[in-house]
Amino acid sequence: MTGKKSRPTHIRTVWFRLSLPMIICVASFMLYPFVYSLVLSFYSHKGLASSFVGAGNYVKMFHDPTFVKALGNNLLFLAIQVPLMLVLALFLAYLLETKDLKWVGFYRTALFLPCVTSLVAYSLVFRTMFQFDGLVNRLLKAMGFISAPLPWFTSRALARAVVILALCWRWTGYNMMYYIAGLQNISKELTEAAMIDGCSRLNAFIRIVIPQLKPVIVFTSVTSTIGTLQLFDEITMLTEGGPGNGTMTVSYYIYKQSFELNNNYGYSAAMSWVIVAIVALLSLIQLRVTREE
Amino acid sequence: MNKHVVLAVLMSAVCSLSAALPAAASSSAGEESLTVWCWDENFNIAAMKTAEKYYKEAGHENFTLNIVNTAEEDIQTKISTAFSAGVTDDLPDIILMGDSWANMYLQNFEGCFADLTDQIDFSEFAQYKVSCFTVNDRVYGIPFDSGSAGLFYRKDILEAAGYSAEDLENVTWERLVEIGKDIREKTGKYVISFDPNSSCSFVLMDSVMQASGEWFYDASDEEQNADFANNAVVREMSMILKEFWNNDLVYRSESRDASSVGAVQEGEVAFVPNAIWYAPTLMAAKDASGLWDYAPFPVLEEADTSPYTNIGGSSWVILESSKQKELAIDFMKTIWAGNTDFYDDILLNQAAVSTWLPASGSDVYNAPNEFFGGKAIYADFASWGEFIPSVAYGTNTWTVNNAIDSNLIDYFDDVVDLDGLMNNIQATYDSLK
Repeated sequence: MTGKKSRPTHIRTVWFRLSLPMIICVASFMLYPFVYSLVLSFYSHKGLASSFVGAGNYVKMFHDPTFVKALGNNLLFLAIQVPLMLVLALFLAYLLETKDLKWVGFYRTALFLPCVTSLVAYSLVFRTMFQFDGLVNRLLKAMGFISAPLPWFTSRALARAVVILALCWRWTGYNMMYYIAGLQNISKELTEAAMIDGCSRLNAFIRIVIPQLKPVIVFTSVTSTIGTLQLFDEITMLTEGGPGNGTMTVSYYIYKQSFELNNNYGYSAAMSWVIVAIVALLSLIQLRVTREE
Repeated sequence: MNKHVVLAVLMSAVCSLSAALPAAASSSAGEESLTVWCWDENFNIAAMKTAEKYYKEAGHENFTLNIVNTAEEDIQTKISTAFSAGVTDDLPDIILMGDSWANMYLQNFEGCFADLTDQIDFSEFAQYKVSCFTVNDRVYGIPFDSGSAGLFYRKDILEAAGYSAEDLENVTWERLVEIGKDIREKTGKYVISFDPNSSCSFVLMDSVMQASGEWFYDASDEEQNADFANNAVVREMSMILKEFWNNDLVYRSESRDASSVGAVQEGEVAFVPNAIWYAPTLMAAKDASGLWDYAPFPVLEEADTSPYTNIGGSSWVILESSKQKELAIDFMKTIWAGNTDFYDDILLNQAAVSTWLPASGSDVYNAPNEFFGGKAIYADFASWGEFIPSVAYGTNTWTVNNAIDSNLIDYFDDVVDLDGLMNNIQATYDSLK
């Protein structure tokens, strides 16, 4: 005790001096923008001019048809795409973990490969494939499924389908890898024992494998939820939010308000904060619901 | 000791780096070089390249122009980001600005554009163009091309469906839909190409609106409040567009995909209502020479619109942040506001109908154009241009277009009726402006 007290000041504060560079970096590149965006959200901008509006932006948002629509689209993608992708990923992971499967390395690489392609590049390829006189329409026509080209990007339902398809293609392999890692940590003995006792393969999967995979499932669903709520790249490249805001997402609308319309940075900041709140809330619910009793 | 050496090396590296940057900039300044951002390879870019040639001939042998092909939306995004951040180092000296969004940017980013009022004689330009670039009696843009519009069409497709050029004289949009149905049925060709999600309103709504002599809102009103429910033009045109769409007459390519241009050039689309600046795009498909013709712009049956109107058109703006503002101004003044040979050249080679009045007396205007069946296309469009009703665009044209484009598809798909569409456009506009 006494020895500690008598230490010279420069040693007692050494932790501070050593971490100062990092503290400065974090403060200026994370904390400051974080706080400043909150301040910004109480202002309304028009180019370089700005005025204080208090909570005005937050009120305006819920009367703004584009924002409401965008939020609806986000939730729609969340409700359809995330479960679809996770089930598919789990299924593929399970298949790849089957005993005696040949070419495992090849399949695993093939399924994971989409995840290393750039978001912009793959979106561009999808757009080119699905354009009015693109590959998909030509193929469908050649195979006799359609007589006239399908308007993939000018019909709301089809545009949403393309976005969901693209997202699944890009992200399924990513989640699959988590499931594979999870599956490898589960001992095969339990399943084998159950099957010897007469349990069907499906039943063993649902009652034995899935409960043990729970932490991984929670993790992938939380990250996918956050990803879907921040959906931006695919929308920008594939549909630009169209047709008729049918695939407009909040992130893209934030961008549009900031950089394409009246440069209303304040309003955009306010919308970003609402997204933060929603992500936090949804993650909390997911963690609660799936928590071990 | 070692520590000090490393430090010294690092510091000298940093110093030499920071010293190298301004040095590089100043060495290029001596060569008289300007950077320009604009779009459209066949038109604006080609015209700027020609301007470079003429400025060189005017005694600036070392002059070079660095023209960067930048999409219209990208120019907006880039300049607004740079101006907001106050970092203007990477911005060019001259940009091309669409007439319809000019006022919004000139006002939102006041002080970022060079004031040209006392530098150039603006009485020599078409006044409707000058007014698009005027804020508080100061002028910030050098007017470029005319947006005088007409209806381009494929003669062969029209004739195959049993119609002739006479059928398109004083044609209404309603009649055009009927003709279109016959064309689709008899020839299998599409009638028109538009994307209800983008640019549709810019080409097809703004044009008929201007033809009516009024704008979506009163630009002199501070709030720029619009009343869509009682806007006869937007109502009638929405019905027309729906007719086109739901009768499968529209080539449904996204406006930003190359296929929207490709389909027109390949003769898949019979009608192209657009401005004279679209002619070079048509003419780029040389094998279609002689197959195209044009008629005055269609009018509406109910609402009162004239066949003379404007689509798009743009002008040059010099940025206040330009390190070579004087050179940029001199270049624009010498060539774009003072060289008739240059204007003859771009008219002949880029089909650029300008709005600089001294250029309009040229004989080149009356030259027959083989691509359009030997008609004097420039003289025709220029003469129509004189009758275009002048309207003030205000600062919210871009916003109106956004509001219309993001709601049309609901009306096409019968999710809402016409009144519902007008309400939705109104609500979207009010929250965007």
